[in-house]
Amino acid sequence: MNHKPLLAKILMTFLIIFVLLVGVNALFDFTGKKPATTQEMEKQSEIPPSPARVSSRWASDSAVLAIEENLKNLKEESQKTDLKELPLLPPILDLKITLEEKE
Amino acid sequence: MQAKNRVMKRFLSIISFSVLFSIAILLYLPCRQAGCYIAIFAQDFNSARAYQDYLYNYNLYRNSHNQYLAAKSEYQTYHTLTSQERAIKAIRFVFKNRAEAWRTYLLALRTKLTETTGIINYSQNIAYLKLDLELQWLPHHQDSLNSVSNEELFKLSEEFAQRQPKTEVVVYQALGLILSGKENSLRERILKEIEKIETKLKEMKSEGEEIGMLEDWLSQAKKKISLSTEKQIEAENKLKTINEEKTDKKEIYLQVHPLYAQTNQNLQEATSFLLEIIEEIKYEP
Repeated sequence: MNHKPLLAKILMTFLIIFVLLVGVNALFDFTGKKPATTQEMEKQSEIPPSPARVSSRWASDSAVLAIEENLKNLKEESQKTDLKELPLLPPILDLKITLEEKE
Repeated sequence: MQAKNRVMKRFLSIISFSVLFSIAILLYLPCRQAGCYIAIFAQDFNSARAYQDYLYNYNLYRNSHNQYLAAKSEYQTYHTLTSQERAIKAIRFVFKNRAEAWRTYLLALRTKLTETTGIINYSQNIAYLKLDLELQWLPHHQDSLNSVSNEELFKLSEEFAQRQPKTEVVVYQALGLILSGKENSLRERILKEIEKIETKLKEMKSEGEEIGMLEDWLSQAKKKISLSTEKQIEAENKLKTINEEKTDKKEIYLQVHPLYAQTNQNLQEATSFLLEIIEEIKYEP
């Protein structure tokens, strides 16, 4: 009785199943699950959110709000201030206008 | 009788018109000086308009200068009487345009000085006086250019050239006043806000609030204000070194720009500190 063809079929089937299992495993790793070490590092780098601050009783004080508004305007103005006035540099004028060849 | 009346009426109207015309001329001539220009056009004549006027005249000067160069080149090539006369005409024209460009430039500068706040009255008035002296001289110079002989034309030009170094010193002093004025104005307004914050902190302290940290922050903001003043004084002292003999007046002026930038930077930082104080006041510790 010749068992070789049967043995070959069994081996081939086993090989196919093995390859399929490896492939499915690899696909599962690629799409979803991260390694444990990466997950730990991400947990460490997350900054805990700062707790929301509670407004004080001065938050709606009109004087405080007015000062804040003035300071914001001042900051904007100081950023826009022209501190060179280059267009107002004196013009270049020829002061040696003559008919002579050598000036 | 009626004819006589008509003649009388006509005679009186001619006399009235002549008197009014003479009064108008008498008022106009002295008004060519700077002060009257600004008084007459006060409402519409701002620094932007004055600057456009100057640019227009400077362009006219440059065009006439090119024409002078061409006429001069022709004369130096041919040495004919015709080319000489053409060159002299071109020179007379460029002298007039040069004076007008300079006059309108000084007027633009003076107008800008008027519009800048934060300048001490005494310094501003001195600058006005010096600029007005030149602005009063220039129309006489321009009038003379029309009437002098060819020989005297170059003497007039020499007179103009000799005045330039002294006037340039006035110009750079005025520019420095404008820059300092801008920073003084900002600083004064920031100091007013500091006073208001100090008042508010006193109020908070009297109501039992802990303000030690805020007082410390406020003193740091005041230090920034002092630093800005120091840098500004450094810039102003550098500008004071400009005199008639210096040939690098413009370079010295450009060298003070970084100092004014540092002045401004310190004011901005002071403002940022004050905003942080306000932020801290608005929230519970």
